[in-house]
Amino acid sequence: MLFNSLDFAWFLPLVFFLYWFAVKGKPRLQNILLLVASYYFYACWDYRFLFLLLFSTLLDYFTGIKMADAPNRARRKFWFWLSISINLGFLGVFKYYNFFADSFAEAVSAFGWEVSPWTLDVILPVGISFYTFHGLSYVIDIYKDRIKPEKNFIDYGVFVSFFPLLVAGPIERATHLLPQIQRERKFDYAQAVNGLRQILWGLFKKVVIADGCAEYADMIFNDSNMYSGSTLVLGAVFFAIQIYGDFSGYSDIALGTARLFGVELLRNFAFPYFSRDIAEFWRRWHISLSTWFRDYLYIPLGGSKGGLWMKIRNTFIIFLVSGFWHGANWTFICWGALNALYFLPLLLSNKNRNNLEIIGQGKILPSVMEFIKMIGTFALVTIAWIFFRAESVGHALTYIGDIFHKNLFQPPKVMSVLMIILVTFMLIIEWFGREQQYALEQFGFKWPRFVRWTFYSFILFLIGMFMQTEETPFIYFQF
Amino acid sequence: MKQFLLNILKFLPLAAVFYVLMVIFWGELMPDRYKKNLVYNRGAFGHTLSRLDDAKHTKDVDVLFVGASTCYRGFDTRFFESKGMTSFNLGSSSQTPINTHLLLKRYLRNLKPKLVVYEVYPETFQIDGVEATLDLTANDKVDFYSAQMVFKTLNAKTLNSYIYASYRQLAGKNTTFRQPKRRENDTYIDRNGFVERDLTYFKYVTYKKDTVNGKVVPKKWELRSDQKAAFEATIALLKAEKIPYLLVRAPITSRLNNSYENNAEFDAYIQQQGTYYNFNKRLHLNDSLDFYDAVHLNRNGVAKFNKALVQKLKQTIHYQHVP
Repeated sequence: MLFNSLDFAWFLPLVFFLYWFAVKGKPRLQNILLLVASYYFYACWDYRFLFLLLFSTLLDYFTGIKMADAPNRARRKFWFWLSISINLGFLGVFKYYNFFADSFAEAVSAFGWEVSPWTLDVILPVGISFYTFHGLSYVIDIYKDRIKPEKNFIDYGVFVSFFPLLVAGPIERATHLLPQIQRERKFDYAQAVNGLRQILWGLFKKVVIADGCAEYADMIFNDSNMYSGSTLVLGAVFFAIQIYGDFSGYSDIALGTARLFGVELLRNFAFPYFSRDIAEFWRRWHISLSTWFRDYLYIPLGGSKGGLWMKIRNTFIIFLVSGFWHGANWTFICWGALNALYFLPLLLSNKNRNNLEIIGQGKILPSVMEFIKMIGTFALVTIAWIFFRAESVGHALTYIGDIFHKNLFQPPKVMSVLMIILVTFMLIIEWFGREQQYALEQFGFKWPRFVRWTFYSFILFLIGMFMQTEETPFIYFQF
Repeated sequence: MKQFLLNILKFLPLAAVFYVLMVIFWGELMPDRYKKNLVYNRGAFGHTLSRLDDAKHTKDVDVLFVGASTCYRGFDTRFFESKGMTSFNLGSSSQTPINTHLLLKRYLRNLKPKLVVYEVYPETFQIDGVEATLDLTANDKVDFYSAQMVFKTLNAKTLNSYIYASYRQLAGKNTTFRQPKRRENDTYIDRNGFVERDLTYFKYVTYKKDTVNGKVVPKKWELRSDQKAAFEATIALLKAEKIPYLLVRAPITSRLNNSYENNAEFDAYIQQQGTYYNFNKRLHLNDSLDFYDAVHLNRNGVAKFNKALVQKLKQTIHYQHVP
């Protein structure tokens, strides 16, 4: 069930009304309802993988308790590694096995040996990377004595599989989400209205901006050898906007939906294309994943402490792992490596925390220098996105090469004035809302209510007039 | 919570009115390239406007043909007339069972056919029916049945087009005009619904097999449950109206037909619903000489197919219902 489907348009109000009317004021029943709804939501993709989700949840639930009850450190360690290895084992089998098998076959064929690897003919269970990381953070936090294990399976089940975040995050932490699930939730008017506004904006970004840009990005990337350099640049920009609209749109819908149930999820995006350097970009893009890797990988590895080589090593590890997390393909690894190369000079010159405040804070426009930096950062990020989108590393390199070799200054062949108008509209709203949690949060609050509501109606109209009518899955579902 | 629900109840009518006004404004003033989800092609491809106009003025036919373009291009009403049967072809572009069901509800009582020949092209069971809904919404009157059709194929395109079509009808903007008989290579046969294509031949192709991870994936007809339900509802409607019917599959090129591996499964399903003739099995046509594309018969193919159908009609009990 997609957020942008008619099924979800029925599902959400139904669960909302049951939650706030049928089981109102009964947190236990509310959690049972959320768990059942979440499992139903997941089963709509493929009910067979529901068992995998259930197994993963049970595994971490029991190992969490076993670790806390362990009589000695060795036993504690045993349960910890059991959970880690099974979790990563599932991820490895479903997501990475074919990649390793094929890569091995390619590597040995370089020496003249022909190997036909046995590959798995399975589809990737949707959301596996997300709920596995949920579980991993929970188990690691218990092992490190940061939290106590959750004894109530229903509560823990909701933490792992709460439907707004189940298939594409944000990747939550037990310390943040579990307390909200355990306590009684009261309906908060402001929070619910905020949720609806965020859903509206997320939906616009997904079905109008991302899906619209996808049409052109796909056209250009799929036949990239046919286009001029300028069209290829436009294709890369369309993809940059597509992936932002798609994933931040998804996150807005997820966060907004959770708010309707009185739950605040971790923020995942903070207007990343308004960043002045790569370090700022990574503080604003897929925040829940970046902070996950920071807390559970980068810092345990030593972080930015230590010598030069350690800094370089850790930076590369975190970016390469982040790339690999996205998918079993060399393109993602190259994307990660390229971002590491962008990031490294900032880290080594101690400039990685230069831009902590919001760009042009309190002002309508940024300074000229800020604008130039912003465009430069966007250009770097867009070049990296070419690897992310390309079919292979070879395709990405050819694509970049063709940008410079094939009429870069000729007007682009594929040009959608409509899409450019819509993207500009989105960027203007995002710019004015950049100091808030999401673009529409305070937008138009000084206007009379009628005008503000008309503005929301206008966004609804734009959705109805320009959305893709075929339901298109979110890009991050494949991860 | 009360305030929340109250505000939603206040907002929704405002949003609905604003939406309708914007759709009308957009439809009237914006150039087509900015009307992504507003498709309003009145009097365009497929001669639907002329056909439905004729359907409104036709009564008591012996045979009524329904189905997609394989229908309105496949059953030459003049041929049946030459055999002493009055007939009308109510086919339309990409008409799916959902569309057929509602079209029959609207026109059956007027046309009062003695026999309905339903052309069942499997492709129409695996698509959503949006294309046909847009065609019928723009070219037919807007009423309860078209609202039902829009609801059953609901998406932004069908909704916007329905809103705009309703406005045009209410504002009296849908003045009847007769489409030119000729459109590109097609000629509309007046008062019969049939469209004849100038004689051309199909340069056949061999269909590439779909592969996933290097393995050939069998190509199958994937029938949608909503289309099957609508098809069964149509059969029930015909039975309730006591109108005899015949289920027919017009020939398509053998290469296209054979590229699907579950034709037998499809046939078995259709057979459960009534007397069924699959002319892909019964007629052995030439993929090049009898077709103008992979799916549609050319003039030669139509003649052979219609002759075979009439012979079949004579052999079946259904023929007793027609003169």
